[in-house]
Amino acid sequence: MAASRIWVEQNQYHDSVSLMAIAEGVRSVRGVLEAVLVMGTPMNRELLARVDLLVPEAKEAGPMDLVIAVKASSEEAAEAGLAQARRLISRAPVLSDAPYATSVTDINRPAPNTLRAAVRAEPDLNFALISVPGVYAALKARRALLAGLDVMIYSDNVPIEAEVELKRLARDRRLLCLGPDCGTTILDGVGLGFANVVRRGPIGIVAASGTGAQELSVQIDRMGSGISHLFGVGGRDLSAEVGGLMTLQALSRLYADSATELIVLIAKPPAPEVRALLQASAAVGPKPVLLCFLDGSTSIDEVAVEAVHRVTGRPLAEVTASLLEDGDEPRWPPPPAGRSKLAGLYSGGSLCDQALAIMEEHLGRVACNIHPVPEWRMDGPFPEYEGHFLLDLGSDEFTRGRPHPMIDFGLRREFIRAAADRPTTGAILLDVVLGWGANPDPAGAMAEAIQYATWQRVPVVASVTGTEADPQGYSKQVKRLREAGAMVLPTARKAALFVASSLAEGGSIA
Amino acid sequence: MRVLNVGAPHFAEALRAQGVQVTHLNWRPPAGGDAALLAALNRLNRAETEAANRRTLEILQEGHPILVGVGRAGELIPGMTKETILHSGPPNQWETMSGPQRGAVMGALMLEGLASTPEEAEALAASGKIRFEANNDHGCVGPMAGVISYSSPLFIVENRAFGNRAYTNFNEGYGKVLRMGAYAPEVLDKLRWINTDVATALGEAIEANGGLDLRAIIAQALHMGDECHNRNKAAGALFLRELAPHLVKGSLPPERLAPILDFIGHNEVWFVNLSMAASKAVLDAANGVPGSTIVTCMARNGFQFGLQVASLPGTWFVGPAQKVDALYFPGFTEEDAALDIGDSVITETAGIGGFAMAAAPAIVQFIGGTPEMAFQLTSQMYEITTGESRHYTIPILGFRGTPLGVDIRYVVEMGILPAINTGVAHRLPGIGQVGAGLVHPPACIFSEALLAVAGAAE
Repeated sequence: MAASRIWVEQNQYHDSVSLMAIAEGVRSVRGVLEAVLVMGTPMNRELLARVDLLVPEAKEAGPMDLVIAVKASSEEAAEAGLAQARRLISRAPVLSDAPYATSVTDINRPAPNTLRAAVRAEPDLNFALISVPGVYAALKARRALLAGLDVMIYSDNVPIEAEVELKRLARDRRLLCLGPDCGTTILDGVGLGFANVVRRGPIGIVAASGTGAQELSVQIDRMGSGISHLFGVGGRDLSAEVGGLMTLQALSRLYADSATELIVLIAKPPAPEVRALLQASAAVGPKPVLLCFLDGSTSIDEVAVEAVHRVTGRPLAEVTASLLEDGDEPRWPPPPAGRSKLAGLYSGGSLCDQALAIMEEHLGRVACNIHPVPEWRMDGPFPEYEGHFLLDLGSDEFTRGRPHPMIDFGLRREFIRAAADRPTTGAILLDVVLGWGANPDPAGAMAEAIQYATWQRVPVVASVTGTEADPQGYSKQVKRLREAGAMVLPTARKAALFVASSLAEGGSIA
Repeated sequence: MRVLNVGAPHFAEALRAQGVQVTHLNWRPPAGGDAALLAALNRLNRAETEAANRRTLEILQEGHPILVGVGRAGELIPGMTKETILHSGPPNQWETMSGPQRGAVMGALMLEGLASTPEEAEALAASGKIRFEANNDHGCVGPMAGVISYSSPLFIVENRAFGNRAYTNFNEGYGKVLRMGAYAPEVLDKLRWINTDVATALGEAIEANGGLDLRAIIAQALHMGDECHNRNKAAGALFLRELAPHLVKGSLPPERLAPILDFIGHNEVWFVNLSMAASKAVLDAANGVPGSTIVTCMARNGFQFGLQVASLPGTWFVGPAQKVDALYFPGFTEEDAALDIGDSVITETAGIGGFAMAAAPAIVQFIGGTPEMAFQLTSQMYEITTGESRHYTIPILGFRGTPLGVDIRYVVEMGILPAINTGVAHRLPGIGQVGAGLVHPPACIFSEALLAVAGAAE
């Protein structure tokens, strides 16, 4: 009983001679009656029609698509024929199967220092993590994608046109292009970049925000649920130019992923047309999608609680309690007279954004180096500035020629001391981020500086974005911070609220 | 998950701690961090360039060079005159010609009867009455000085796949030869013999054989320890094997034929001219592919090294010819050496010669080094080429195809220059070869070519 198989590979190029040779190879598979491998040109489509193999998928194929058509005497034979064709195609002309070098040369083989060499030497490489300076990242990313690797680009300062091209290429090849400017991804339980060790579970995350995603993931873990995958799509994915290219891909993958029951999308507010696209996708998707645009309308805490509530069925109150298990708010020690202003020192941009929204609600205008309103953007050294301020130390001006503040605490230590010395500082607010990629002991790295501040009777408040399973250990870090004199709240939002309300109550004491 | 880490080792460590297998790439900033080059690399880092290069590669893969006959330069080369001298390398003038090339010019002028003594020849060459043109601009290639004049017999090589033709002169053998700048009477006498008996006999034999498939010979020679630039022994033997039965049936009587068989049979470097012309025929077919960054010509004249890319045919990018890293024959040293000279680098451009060194480890006896170096050089060349030859394969690398299609983007990005095996001529005319070794092109020509192609890509 005759059976046929059609397979279309997009965006390929093979010369007709190689394809004919491969077709020959497929015809030698037992049971195969006919095998045709052609590029999807109009003329070839006619050819397929003549052998009764012009099925709908083949009709759609274009000149840059490879059509593999196999006719056989049975289903099994057709399957075997198709498999053989795909195997032979994957070994088609350009890169040979031959070993990189023979045993003679292995002795002296130089370590590959080009991506092409690495991919040739190790054909099972399937993921490239790129963190070279932005101006080079696009070159490397493209090469990796063309070699069939999924890509995560930690680098920023990649031109947006390059980002669009890379994401389109990735989409066409059904590969991932996470980033540029993607700091956090978790795939199949593996943390890439800055990522926490969180339980596996039914919640999928798509994030255009690094620390926002980290905070969200650790909260989910603390509430007893877990993550299926966390796709970091890069800070600009939801801009008008990029149009949510990778976000939509990530959503598709999570819709199709059997382990995922619910999806959270966390990002800074997207361009309006992209927002509409996302809401449309969420509306028709097979799984619930919770949107968290860090614009003050929904907080990370709220969306985390809602997500866990939905997938576990546990009551909201219970879920919330498990998030804030660290219980009672500490007692606010009033600082000395004249000290009434905020000094916020953040390593995560999204957490800083969140804090800014909370602070301005309670305290009025707060200066910030990443303030959306240019007039309120702080660009000078803060000791001279007497009012409320928040600094994102992960921002470009602080990371030039210096490791990220999640890794290196030199600058933060200096700033904590300077903030304590500033006569108007009434509170120092910190985020402490744990996990892979982060400093092995952030609390220890800041302990002395925190102590310095508390001796001057400046309250230091912190939150710890981490889990027990993180290399640094959540409770160990909390303990260390408290020993140094800091007050630790269970979430970044709670920490910010605590400081905001305390400073607001205190008023401006002359 | 099998990760390749490109950048900060920090991330690789975090992955390894999670039990993930990570390969860390020893990354270096490409193009030495030069902003203009980087911008050019980025502009050419796109599908159009890749498609253009795939097209170019396919043209190179399909190239099928066949030796179809013998003719005279004056009849074969359009625009050739008695006062025209073609030479190796990019366009050159008498004033800047190196010793070997000057000697060859002088010899050629005497051979053409335009001068009767070396002094007359020198004066004529410097007078401005002689037109000097680059071989490669006329579909020709010649080793070392590469001088071709009006009455030079040329081999005609046709690229059967595309119909274009390339030409080369006849190899004179070793020692005091015109291509090394020798112009003594015995040199010219030998050339007169080559220009008559040898040319006639071979022309008849090639026709009787119905042509000679050079691609097939080169492919076999690569399996016999040749790389077809500096090691051509096997190829020469195969050439003679094919044509000898026809040679003996030609018009020449045995007593005039015997010296020809002896000459070709014992001239171990005989075939290099043919492997050069075969390479030229294959590469020329790729000229004019819009947007392609593949190199279609490389050549040097002892003064400059020139390069052409497929998308900008006819445009030479030139830089200074380099000093060869050579092993010298007894009695000679570095001081005696001429700078890099000859069109023979067209073989590397086509993926043989130095690029196929792994097929010819014995060559290290000639150019110095170890067999391991031969393998490493070929391995390195894969990094700067677009694909691997379908026809020329290297047995010890598992019959992997030779590196084909030098891409100027890769050269600039990775800072890896094409490796060339070459003989070294004495810097004074007429003395001959003094050694052999490895040499590279000047890096600047690749950068300039890259900027030009990127500029044209607007």
